[in-house]
Amino acid sequence: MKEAELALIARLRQGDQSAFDTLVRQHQKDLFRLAYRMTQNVEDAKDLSQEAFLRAYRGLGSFDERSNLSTWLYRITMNLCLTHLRQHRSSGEETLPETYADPSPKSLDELEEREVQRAVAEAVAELPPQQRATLLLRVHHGLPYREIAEIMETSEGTVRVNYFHAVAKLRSQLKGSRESL
Amino acid sequence: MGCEAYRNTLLEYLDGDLTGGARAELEAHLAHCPGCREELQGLQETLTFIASMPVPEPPEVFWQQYLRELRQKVVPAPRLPRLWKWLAALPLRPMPAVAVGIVLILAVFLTWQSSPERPPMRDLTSLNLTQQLALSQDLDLLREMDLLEEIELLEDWELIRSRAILGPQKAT
Ligand SMILES: [Zn+2]
Repeated sequence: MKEAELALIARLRQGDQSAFDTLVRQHQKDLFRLAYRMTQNVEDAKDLSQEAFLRAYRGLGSFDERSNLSTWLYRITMNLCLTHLRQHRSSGEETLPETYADPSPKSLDELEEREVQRAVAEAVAELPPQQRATLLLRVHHGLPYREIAEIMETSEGTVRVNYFHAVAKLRSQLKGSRESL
Repeated sequence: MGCEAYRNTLLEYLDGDLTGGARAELEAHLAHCPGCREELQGLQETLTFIASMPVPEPPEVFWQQYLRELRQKVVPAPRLPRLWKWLAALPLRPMPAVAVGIVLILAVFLTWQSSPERPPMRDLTSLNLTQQLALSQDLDLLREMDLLEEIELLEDWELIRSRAILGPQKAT
């Protein structure tokens, strides 16, 4: 673990407010994006990532300094997201991804790209949560299998299998959606 | 090795996780197998599409509000309640009481030493009843004051901590 992280944790344990601000500032975008990609909803992403920071702060005592701060934060966020998805699974159809800047498409190409992106988003949303989580951590957060295994509290072998299944499923779904365009 | 076995390694290959002989063998196979090349291209495309999935980029004002809300929700770390429990578990906080006792004995001893009449040395048991009673009441009082002071100190500390955490926010 990096020295700067250890120093930050020491300050957090002393109840230093500026250290809490630093922690949030450093990781807010990563946690928000992860939660957004898991839930496809801005409000949920905000609530879940904020809750992750609170739990991290309150649970500092249980933080193992041999681990990575970001790995630990990802794990807390992911657990919250998986619980959230379990609780809201029966809510019916997924909402379309919201974006802050969403100008109208300027060309046919762009329109087509939008359609494919929508198809991808839908396909990702249909993946079993464990596969979805693994895929997002691998592709969007660029994490190695070892770290994903730590976040998901599973083995590297399971991570590998989940990742392969997720990509294969998306591939066949994408093929279908492009042929129908 | 057949195409199926090679195809199972394509994702690892794209991730750069395939090394040495396995990598060379796959590349040799890809060079003369259009089917596996197509499969590789499909996977690559899929990964590119997944990677291009948009994610909202909230404006700075969103993050300011985000942090403000968090600061309001944060409560002091659980060390304080634990300290309270620890204090409550102690029967009477013996340390201050012992210290007060030593100071008193020392004071009495020094007063006698320095008094011109030099009364004969007596131990505390030979003090008359009123004196003993007064001394023990003083001790109780001191003990209580000592505890009260500590509680006040702790409350101040808690206040400072909660202010430090919830308190006026700097413009970020
Ligand atoms: Zn082949």
